[in-house]
Amino acid sequence: MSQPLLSIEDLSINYKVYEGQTKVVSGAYFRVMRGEKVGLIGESGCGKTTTMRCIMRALPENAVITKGRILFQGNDILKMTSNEVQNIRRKNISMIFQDPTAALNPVFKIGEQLRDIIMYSNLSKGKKLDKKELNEQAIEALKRVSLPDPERILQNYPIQLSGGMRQRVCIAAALISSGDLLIADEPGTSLDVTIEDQILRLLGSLVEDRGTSIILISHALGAVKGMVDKVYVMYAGVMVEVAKTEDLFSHPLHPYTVALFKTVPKITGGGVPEPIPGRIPDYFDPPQGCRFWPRCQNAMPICKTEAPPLRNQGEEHEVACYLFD
Amino acid sequence: MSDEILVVKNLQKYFKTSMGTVKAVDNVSFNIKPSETFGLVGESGSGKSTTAFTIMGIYPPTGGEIFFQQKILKGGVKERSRDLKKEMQMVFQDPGSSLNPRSSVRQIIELPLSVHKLYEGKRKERVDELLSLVGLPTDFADRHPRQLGGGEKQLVAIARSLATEPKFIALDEPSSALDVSMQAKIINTLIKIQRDYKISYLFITHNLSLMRNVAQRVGIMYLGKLLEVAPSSEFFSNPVHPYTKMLISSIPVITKEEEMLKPAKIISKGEIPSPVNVPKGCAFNTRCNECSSNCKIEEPQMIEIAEGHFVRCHNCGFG
Repeated sequence: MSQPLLSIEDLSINYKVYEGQTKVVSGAYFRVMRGEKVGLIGESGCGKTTTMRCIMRALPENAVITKGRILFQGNDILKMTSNEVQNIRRKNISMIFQDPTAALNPVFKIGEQLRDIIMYSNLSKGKKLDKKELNEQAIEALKRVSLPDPERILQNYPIQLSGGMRQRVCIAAALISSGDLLIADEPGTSLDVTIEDQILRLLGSLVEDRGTSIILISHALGAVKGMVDKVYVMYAGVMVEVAKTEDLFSHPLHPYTVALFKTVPKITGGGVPEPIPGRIPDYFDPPQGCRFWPRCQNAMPICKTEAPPLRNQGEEHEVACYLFD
Repeated sequence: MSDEILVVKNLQKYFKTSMGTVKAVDNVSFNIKPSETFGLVGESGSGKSTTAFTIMGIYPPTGGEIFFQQKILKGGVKERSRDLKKEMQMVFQDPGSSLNPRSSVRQIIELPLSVHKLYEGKRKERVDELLSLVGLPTDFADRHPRQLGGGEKQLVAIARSLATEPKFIALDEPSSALDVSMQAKIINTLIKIQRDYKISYLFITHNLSLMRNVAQRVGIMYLGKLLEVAPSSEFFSNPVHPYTKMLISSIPVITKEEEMLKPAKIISKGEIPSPVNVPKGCAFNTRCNECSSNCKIEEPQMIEIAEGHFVRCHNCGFG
């Protein structure tokens, strides 16, 4: 097997809080091949965004990385100098955030924001563009995300655009500098179904055209299913299941994945979904062993003492659960 | 209209802005039966919330009539009697901003009781009872909203709306700020309460798959107008309006059976136009796949194509 584009190994992240440290991400493992589309699902507060922000080295200041490596094309991002990280952000990896309103600066016009990104992205490749070229490329970027009338939008402030348009601008901005990997953190969650559908289709076709890898984070399971090749399921900072998309949705194995799928209301009817009993553990003092056992109906004595490792259960289907030993 | 608890007739709510009049709710008519859930779906900006706010009297209506238990409702909330307000309650989308951050949960839930002078001397028991009704431990009464999670806050808001034993609750996206597991818990609680206390719900959401499982009848809104009203099973098995088809085909689904139910992939295009300049003719004509020349000139009327199934479209009325 060839070398993965990005590989997260045994990553643990704590947050410093008043009482001590909350152990949020614990031994996370994640792998993206070149050109692969990967999904990451889980409830809110499961550490999905924390893990992804860590790839961009964009964690809040109170975060502490206690162990692990993030290898991008073989180099450890966590050991890079801030200049090297800056370069990766300009050339290789970019991120689309959940809330486009917060991601765009309200006091600058769209044009100024896009031109800056294009300028720095090209500077790091050793090219210096003049004003006219910058403008042309900004228009080009907006056309790629099928925004009508790009010349006018460049003159607009974010507040003058609708939510769907803002998210398209963010995607356009992200695509400028995403040579290899695009991280989309719930790109459609704050939008309407029809707009979300449009945005996801657009993202799908754009990454396919350019051979970019994409990581799609979402708790809208259906959206993930329609788009990615492989899905990681995360619970309380731990990867509990990894499988090909078709495989995962037809044969979920981990009790958490099964429970998560049950909570989704179906358009075929069949009644109201069942909630997962209990709630996400307190990260200040997470349960010993498997972090899911307090909510698991199949919990065994061993689950309460030892954390199960991810183990192979069939072709490219890995599960961290003692039920399948 | 004999036993309907709520009847809305040609309801209008216009807002005057510097750019022109916004017809946020334009001739909307529907009714809700006792212990029924009527769902309103639509994209943001389609006027769902404004409809609910107008029914509750938060905005006085520009035109049209609202009947509650056969009695006509006057204008805004200030003109309504206290007894009436006791019967109608509302749960808002964002529990973070609808609960007073400086009050304890007990004070929050007690407020409607003291306003309506109910349960005097027994309010503590009533608060405990309401908390257990929504599935929260009674010691939550002494907490403040900031000590609760998003889902728990919403449950407190629901407990507050139940305090006066209303007959009708308007639920404005009660679960859309929450993730799937918490959403399931909220919805199950609401349905259990409806069964036990025979409450009617006006349920607003943009999550269609949730709507399928909660509402008995669904109305679809677009730019302030109802485009289709149908029983929810029919709505999904036999969608008629092109906008409904577009919405349903945009729903992300996870099982094969659901995939079968979706109409042949209709590519959703465009965005909801500005409500200041509503397109002439049918409001949906800018995004419609089946648009004919007449659609751009004449506004279609609501027609009944099957028992209880109403559609506002030139091209699908006689099919």
